[in-house]
Amino acid sequence: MECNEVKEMLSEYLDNRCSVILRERVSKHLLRCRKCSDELNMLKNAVDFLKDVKDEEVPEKFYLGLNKKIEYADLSAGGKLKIFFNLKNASVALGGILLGVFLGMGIMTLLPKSSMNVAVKTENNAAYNNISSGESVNRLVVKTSNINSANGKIDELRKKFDVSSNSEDALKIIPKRYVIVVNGSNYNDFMDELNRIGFIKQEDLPMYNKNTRLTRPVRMELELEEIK
Amino acid sequence: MREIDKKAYEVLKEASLNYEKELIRKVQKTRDKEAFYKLVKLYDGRVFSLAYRFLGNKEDAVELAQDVFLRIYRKINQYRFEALFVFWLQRITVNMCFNKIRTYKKDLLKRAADFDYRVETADNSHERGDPLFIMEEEEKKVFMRECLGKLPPVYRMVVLLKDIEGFSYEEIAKLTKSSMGTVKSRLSRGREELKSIFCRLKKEVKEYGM
Repeated sequence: MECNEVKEMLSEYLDNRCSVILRERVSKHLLRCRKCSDELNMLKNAVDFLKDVKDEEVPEKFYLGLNKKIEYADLSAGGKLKIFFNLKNASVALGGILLGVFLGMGIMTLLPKSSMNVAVKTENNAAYNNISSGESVNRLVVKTSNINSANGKIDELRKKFDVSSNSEDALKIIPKRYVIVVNGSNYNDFMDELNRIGFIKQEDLPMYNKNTRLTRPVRMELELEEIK
Repeated sequence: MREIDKKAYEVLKEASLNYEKELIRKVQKTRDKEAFYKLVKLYDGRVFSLAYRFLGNKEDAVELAQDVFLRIYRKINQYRFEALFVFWLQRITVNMCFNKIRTYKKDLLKRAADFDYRVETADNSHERGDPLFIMEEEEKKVFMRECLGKLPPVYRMVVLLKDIEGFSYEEIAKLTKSSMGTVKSRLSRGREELKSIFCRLKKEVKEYGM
């Protein structure tokens, strides 16, 4: 066997993947050929080096990121309402809408004492049945790639609609979460405004504007979620 | 391996496979997050290492590794315990790696910068002996990535799958969707190139007396 033939077989020879005949021929050649024998050794060193190196260390951000992705995957799988806007249009996307009843702070001082509905509903339709009867909270998760712009929009909304007392400001401490308490009578206008600035899509608007019975203030919680 | 070591090894292997099976079953049944993250912990290093050493870019590797495990989480019920779990896992990794690297073609210059080959970073305190084995662990990792980066991607992947991941020729053929002959020749050429790179380094080290 010639050296150049042997050289091509060295890799398989190393892994014991040659046929018996070939293996024997290569072995015989190696016994009398110093050059090829050295080649095999160098190859073996290279391979051993690779085997010897440990796994790369997984950075912390891997787990943080994975966590987020898994949470989000669970949310999507749950079938909650999710609408996305194209980021390039610099609009914000509507995440999920959860309606629940909040034994909250400020609302209690604004309303006369009435029966409190403590049920937490997650389907949009069912929740609307509760709006007139007790405190209710509309929570919008707004996904945005431009937090500053979204912040600005929310500030404008507040100036226009917010009737809450100052104790509500305590919630500002929670980053990216805003509370706007909207008078019942302004509720539809508020929804229209949300649509105008892009927080709600046009086609979803009718779903929110059903309520003519709203007499009590509605507490809107807007939560900003940054997406890249 | 001694006979008793072999047995101990087999027992351990069986035990860890059973552990893994239990975790997978839990996730399949109830989407048990705790079980899932334990599963992640078993293989995060391997998936990340494969991605990082293939792509040469840490950020991309992190993202890719996350996407691999995300896919596992979402499609866990497709796993039927026929093949090894790690095989399924790495098959996803390999596919994603090749998909990712295709996007690099347009950005060659930027990627090339990640593969800067710097001999000076090798530890100078030892003058004798094979520099390959004297480097510190971290240096070895950097050096390995740099050398691997010089290989064409298809050779690089086969070398990674064989000599680091430890898959068989047959498994590699399946993982890379190529024939046995292709695997053999790519592995042979990949190792040959790597060997030349290492030899060149040794020569340089000897010449410059580092």
